[in-house]
Amino acid sequence: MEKEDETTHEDDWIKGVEMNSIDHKITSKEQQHYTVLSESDIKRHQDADIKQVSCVLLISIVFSCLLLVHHEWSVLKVQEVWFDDEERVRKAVGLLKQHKPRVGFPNSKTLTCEICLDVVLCDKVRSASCDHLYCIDCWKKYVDTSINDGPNKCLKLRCPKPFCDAAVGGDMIRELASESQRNKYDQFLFRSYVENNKKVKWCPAPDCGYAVSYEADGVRSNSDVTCLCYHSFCWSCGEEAHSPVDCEIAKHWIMKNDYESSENSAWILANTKPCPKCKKPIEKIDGYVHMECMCGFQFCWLCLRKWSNCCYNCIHFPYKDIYKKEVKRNMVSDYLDDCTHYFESWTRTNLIRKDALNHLKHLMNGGHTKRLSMLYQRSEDDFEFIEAAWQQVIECIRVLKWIYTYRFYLPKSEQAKIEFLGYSQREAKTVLETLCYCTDKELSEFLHASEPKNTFDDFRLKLMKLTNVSKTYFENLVRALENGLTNVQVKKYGVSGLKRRLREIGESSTGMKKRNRNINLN
Amino acid sequence: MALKRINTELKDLQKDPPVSCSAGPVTNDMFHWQATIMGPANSPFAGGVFLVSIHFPPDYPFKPPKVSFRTKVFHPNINSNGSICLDILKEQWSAALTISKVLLSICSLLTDPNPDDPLVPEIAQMYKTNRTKYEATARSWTEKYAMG
Repeated sequence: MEKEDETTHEDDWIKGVEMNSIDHKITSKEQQHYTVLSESDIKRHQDADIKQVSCVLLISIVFSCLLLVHHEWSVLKVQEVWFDDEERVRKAVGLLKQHKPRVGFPNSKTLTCEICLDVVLCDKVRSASCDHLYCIDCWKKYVDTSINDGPNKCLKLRCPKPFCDAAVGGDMIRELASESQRNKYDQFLFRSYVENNKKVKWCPAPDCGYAVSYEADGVRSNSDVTCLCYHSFCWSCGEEAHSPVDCEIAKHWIMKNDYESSENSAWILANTKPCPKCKKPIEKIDGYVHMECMCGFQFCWLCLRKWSNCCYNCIHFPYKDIYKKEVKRNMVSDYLDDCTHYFESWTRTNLIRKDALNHLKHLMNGGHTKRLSMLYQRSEDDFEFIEAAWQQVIECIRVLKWIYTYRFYLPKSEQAKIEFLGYSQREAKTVLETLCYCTDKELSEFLHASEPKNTFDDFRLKLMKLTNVSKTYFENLVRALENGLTNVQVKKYGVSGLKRRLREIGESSTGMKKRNRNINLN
Repeated sequence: MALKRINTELKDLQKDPPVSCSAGPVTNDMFHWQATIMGPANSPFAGGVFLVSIHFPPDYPFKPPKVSFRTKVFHPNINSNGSICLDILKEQWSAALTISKVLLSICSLLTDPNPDDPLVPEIAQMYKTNRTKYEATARSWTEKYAMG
């Protein structure tokens, strides 16, 4: 009876893996807390939101678009504030109810344009939704200049009259802008749906045009997402996915070990502050404490609060203390700690991950699944398990990479945790090597076969099971590490239980020895 | 377009100069002007003559001119480099504003500082807590630097 209990404990790590449901796609849509959007998806979402606001509020598409830009593309927020106080919203966004009556001119045929100061014919002037008229040439130059100034200016463009709040709509901008500027404006509008939207972000991978829409539910401890280009990144900080370590530690670790730009990093830390909104470093070049970032966010340099919330308390009363803190802040901490061993392991594992990623891309772009589907007379969907397996390999290597960082930051006093972590790393490598052998060596036999093999279905089931086992093991490990290794019993992860599970899936102990020669993850 | 507009403004300034201000190009460069502002009578800057440098950008009037004091001024919104903290010279600039209006706004700023949006926090603090000391210091700086 005791023996049986022990076995149950040893197999706890695989709890939740339903072998019957193994045919489901590994990353099922039900489990995903995010959606990857292509450019056409983004455009469709954007148009749908504009139409929805237009229909609900009974306003034009142009006004609807202005409202959404002003409220960071949140349909709910727009509707909420509009029905709460329509007048206030109209004033803030610059949506005048109708054209004001046009001012009568002393000479009905001409008037002086207040921008170029020239006398122009009345049929050569335009206005926004107010009565301030300017010549078309000046309007064109004004619109072009605003587009050159970037999205923060042209998407919230106002009448040129000082202190006139009338908004200049997208229809007028498109009409007046040159073709190249019009395209630029449309691109700004399109990109703003992602860049100013709290629920959507661009994939940070170079040359990737996908965006990720994220549904935060407050349950998840980490916020890693994987794009269709296979790039995994952290939703919270935008850096490469780094669970089980948190954003702050990951950022510190990368900066600490960025040898090529360690001097730059030290200078940036000493002379700049991150924008509280977009986190880009900002240097203050004169005495003015009212800062405006390129992203449009205005804040106080001293207290880093939003400028409108600053109340200038930091200047008027305790500003001397803040200046003292500023001086302390400039004493940059020493970045030459002895972390060479862990950083080298981290870098080596990162290179292995890059190789695996390149292998997956080669596999997917090389038409291998298409060839297999023709060879076995099956739909290409039946071969998605190969991509899923390789993605899992990449994810496992990524976790192992960041475990080195996790281990570096574990206090020396936590000896039990350090020992357990070392043990977990070895076990994780065993799981990964088993999966690697199957996805690499065994799969290649089927990929390069000239005729169908009758063992393919068995292999398919085995690889899917291994993928799920690895997924569950690594997810549990990450969860345990994120929880600070509290309430973790080493007994639960018994070696015999793990190896027996892998053997059940179809691996012999000799095969494992063979694997250890082929793949070195130490 | 910028040059045409600058020329028109110069003609208007010569024809109808604003009270207590004057401005014009330095040598032949129409994009670099120098202005003089008389210290407003109801301020600690009264009696002073303040030199102001004006640089027009190539895309004027769609971008604001760069305006700075060449004469030292003790003021919460003007720092030791002569930089001016004035909304219409930054985010509130409008293509329909003119140098004449800018100079009048600077005169107004000399009379009524804005200590809640300071460029020199120490002077702003003094202005708010010890107005007498602020006015005395501003007056002495005016005598020292702006009265020939």
